[in-house]
Amino acid sequence: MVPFARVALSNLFKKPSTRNFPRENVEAKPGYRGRIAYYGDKCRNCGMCVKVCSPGAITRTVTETPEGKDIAFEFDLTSCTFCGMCQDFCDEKAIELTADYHMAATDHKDLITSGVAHIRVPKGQLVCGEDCVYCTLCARKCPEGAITVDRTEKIWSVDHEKCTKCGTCVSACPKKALSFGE
Amino acid sequence: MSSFFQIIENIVKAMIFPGLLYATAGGLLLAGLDRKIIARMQRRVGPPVLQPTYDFLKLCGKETIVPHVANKPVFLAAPFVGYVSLVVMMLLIPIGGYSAFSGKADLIVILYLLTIPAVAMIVGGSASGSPFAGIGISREMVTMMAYELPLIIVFLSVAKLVGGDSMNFSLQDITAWQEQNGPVIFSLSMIPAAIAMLLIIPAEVGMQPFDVAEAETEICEGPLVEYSGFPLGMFKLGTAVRIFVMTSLFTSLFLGGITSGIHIGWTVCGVYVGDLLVRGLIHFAICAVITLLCMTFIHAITARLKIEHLFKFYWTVVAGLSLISLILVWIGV
Amino acid sequence: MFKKMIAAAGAKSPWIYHINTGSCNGCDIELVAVLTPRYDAERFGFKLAGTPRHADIVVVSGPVTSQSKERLIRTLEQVPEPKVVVTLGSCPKSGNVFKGSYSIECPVDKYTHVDVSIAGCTPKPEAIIEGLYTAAQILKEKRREMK
Repeated sequence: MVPFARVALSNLFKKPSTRNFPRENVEAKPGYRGRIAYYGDKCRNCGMCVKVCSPGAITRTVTETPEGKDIAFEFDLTSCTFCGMCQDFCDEKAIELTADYHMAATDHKDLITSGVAHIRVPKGQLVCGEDCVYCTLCARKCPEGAITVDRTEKIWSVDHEKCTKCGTCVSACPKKALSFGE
Repeated sequence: MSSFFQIIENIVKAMIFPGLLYATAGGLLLAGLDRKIIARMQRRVGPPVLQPTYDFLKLCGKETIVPHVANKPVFLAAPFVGYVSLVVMMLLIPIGGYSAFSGKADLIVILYLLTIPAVAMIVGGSASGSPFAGIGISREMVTMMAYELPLIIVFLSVAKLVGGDSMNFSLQDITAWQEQNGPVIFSLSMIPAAIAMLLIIPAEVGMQPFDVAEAETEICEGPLVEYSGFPLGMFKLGTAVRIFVMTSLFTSLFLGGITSGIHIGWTVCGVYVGDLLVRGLIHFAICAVITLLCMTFIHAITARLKIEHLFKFYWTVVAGLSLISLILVWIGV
Repeated sequence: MFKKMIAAAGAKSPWIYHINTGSCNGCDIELVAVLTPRYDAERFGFKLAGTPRHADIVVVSGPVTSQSKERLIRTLEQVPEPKVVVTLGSCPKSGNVFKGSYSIECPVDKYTHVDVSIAGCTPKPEAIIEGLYTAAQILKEKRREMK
């Protein structure tokens, strides 16, 4: 009991260790995963984030427009586990978990991050050029699993039914062999 | 005409100075100070000193729920009985050598009145019909039995010291004796009794580590479990006033007569208002120091005891300390 | 004037009752962390009450499991008016990763009106303080509207 008494008495004359929080804002530590930010201009609508989201917090609504598609994304923060998988899987860095932790709201709408991506769908179909080295990178990146590559037989094939023309494979190809042909 | 003034004076005494208002305000402030200083001892900022007042006001505005198994009149009356008995006790204790009412055997009356708040809590808890309250009241009873014995021995030793050959149970006489011979705490034989009294205060008030009856983490605040709204506020107020009453009792038993030398003129209707004001403030300051010493500090450095340990502690250590004093006084050291 | 004082005191002494409806204990720990010296919610008068009868703010954490559904409803009924319901974390609002399980009966909105929801898995203690502070202000408003 004596050491406790000593600590209690010395604390009485020390400054309190309490942070004066609501008056002085406290920044979260780097790497903190807080409120989701979504950049619609970078998004390519590959749908990878929707697939990896374990609580199913992301909803995607597609509307057809003359130029292509308008994709409205909604990230429900009251359903999110803040695991950061969507951020990690997004090749275009269109999703970011910011350090903003102020997520207490009386209105449910304040806890939804939404954004719209305007996608111009290419007219042609996916074709593979002469430069292909059959590295299988495109097949691995494809969110729909539409591409199959046989390394030994040197055959590259795409299932046009499955392909959504998102363009992930085009940007992933190290040889720039893939393109949406005319 | 004089009897009319007498009545007015008695009402003022009961309602304002040593009575209702002074006791309530002092108690709430002491409870606030206790919470503030314990926070500082734990390196926290702590609530404002007026926090118990806010709590009480808020509880006034809450809905009062009476469980359908409860005995309604008893359930609602219990907190008021406890509170009123505490205020009555405050009238008997001399503050700065001034008491509202005095008699030949104040100490014995106080001894009986002291049990009433605890009994009120027991009655109220049992009227609520909750099993948590059942455990709480059984613990409250054991706590009461544990601290009553040493408390009686402390009272006896003070009475014996002041009375000489016989015993003197009048608080007015005890204060007068201390004005002549110096405070009781300065006589060597009474120091163990003073320590025992300091250890009795937290149990009487129900503060950690002796709050086994109201342990909120294990039995959901025991007897208070079904209380809500204004009756709960009255219980909280009663606890706050109990701090003030117990520390006042300690002050008048062991540190009486300190302020008797202070004289400031300023009379209103033949009453020395200036004296009362200064003495009341000094009395409150002494009470605050005692609260700090025996409740806040002990609360900060200990954890809650088990009921059997509490009983053992009071009937061995505390009763032993007070017995030493009684024996020393009896043989006249 | 007395009524005004009571309403003002309502925001200054909100007592919290915490009910765990099948939470993973993450949010529970963070709620207790709010009362530690670093964050010290007691400076706003927050206090953990032992029983729903003493509570002003009911903090619900965890996706409502079928076992705890009954208890949640009973607990909410026992809290005297005015009361505020706060959901802590993602689970009570949506079920989080437990969504779609046979034993989960979320959201809490089905059983009561949720006044403040604190998002995060788990929320940072600062966010909890913010949410509880908002809840205390709502409490004051509710007290004003009564009578």
